[in-house]
Amino acid sequence: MTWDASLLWQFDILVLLMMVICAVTALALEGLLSSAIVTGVYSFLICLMWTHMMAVDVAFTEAAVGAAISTVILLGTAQYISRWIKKDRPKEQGIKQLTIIIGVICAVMMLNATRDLPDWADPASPASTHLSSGYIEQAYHETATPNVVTAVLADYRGYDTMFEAVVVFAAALVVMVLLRHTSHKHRKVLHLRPKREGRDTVLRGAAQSIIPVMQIFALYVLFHGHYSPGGGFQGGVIFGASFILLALCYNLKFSMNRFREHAVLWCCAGGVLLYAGIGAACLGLGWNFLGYAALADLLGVSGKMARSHGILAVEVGVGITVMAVMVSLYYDLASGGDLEDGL
Amino acid sequence: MDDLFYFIISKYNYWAAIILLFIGLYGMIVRNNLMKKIIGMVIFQTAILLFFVSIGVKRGATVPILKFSPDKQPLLDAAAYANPLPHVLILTAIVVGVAVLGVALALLQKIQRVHGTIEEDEILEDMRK
Repeated sequence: MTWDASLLWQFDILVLLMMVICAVTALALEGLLSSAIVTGVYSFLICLMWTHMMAVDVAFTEAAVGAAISTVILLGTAQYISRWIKKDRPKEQGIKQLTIIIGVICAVMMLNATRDLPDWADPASPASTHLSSGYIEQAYHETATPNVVTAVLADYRGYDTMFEAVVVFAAALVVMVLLRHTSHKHRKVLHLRPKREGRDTVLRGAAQSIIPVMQIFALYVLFHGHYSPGGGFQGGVIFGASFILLALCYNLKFSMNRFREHAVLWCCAGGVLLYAGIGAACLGLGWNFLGYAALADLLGVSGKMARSHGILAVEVGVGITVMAVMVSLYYDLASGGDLEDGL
Repeated sequence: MDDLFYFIISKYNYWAAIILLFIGLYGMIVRNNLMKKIIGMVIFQTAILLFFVSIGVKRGATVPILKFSPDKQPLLDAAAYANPLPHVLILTAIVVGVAVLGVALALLQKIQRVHGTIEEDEILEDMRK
């Protein structure tokens, strides 16, 4: 019955309370633009929670993806729909009220069930004593990668990560297919897009000085993922965000002249191909798919260094795909599919 | 009194996750506007992620990046680092989450073009016509 003061429960409770308030506010607000912004605030708050729970890689991803990209695509979509929700409630709410009652009962049952869960932050909990301690103890000897998260992500659970990359690739294609071909009758919604006038000198100047730094930082995050928080997902998202920032501060055409849609699509597919190609190369050399130790002779290094290099190579693949998918999502969603002008 | 205090601070994270889960579910089911439903989905998803990462927390542990002693030997004590496995699962889930959000928003734009509205009851009315 002792409690270690190193976990600041006061801080947690404050942040969790603010998250609940943000969640309720985001659902209750009548303006959809403000709803989108509050969702961004919610993402930043959960980012604080991740950091405090020592999940730095997760916090990094959440800050780049949840708080930045999600908010931008929500705002981009809000251009093409009514900005306000309809106030008068629909008449038939019976089935929905029944759902609320069932939901409340489920919530009470789940809250009751937490008594059986292991205490929060208990080092002896089942989740922390079986597989994960093996990862921590062996990852460095087997893969020469001090960041255990990176080692597990790209080596031990390489299949998982590869198919995650395939999923985001498929999502980018689906968005494109859904929005690109719109019949003439349905194009009129695109005129809702506000016209951009004048030159935002301050914004453009700021973008000019921030974007190169962002891109170098993204590459650092990608290539330093073995030794510090970061890796392919985070680096890719930051690199993609630099093109989105360019489009936000200038306009969509300006960004598309530098990173054409054709190139974006090649990058989308190329990253996944690089990942799968490295897996297939290992297979060709007589090892398992994604068994990077097969590359040892080819690279002239020891087996565990080969795994370290293999991790780096697939992280680059993930980074390229994620970067291109984020840019592609922005191009399509913010322009409503016609790629004429964006947010 | 101490027991109650200990009980609360050893469970509050799970409670917060469950409360957020049902706030998200409420948004998805009860709100009439499709954009609100999508925001409900985002909240629902982060609640699950919060629960997962909560499982990996260890008292007195640090970030799962190995520390080295001055003679370049890694400190390999499992109790000294947070559980890396939930972090890996959640990291990829966040990126897939934004991909799902993108597809949902594309469908939303398509619905707006075809039906001229994103209010659930108006879409149903339009479809009955």
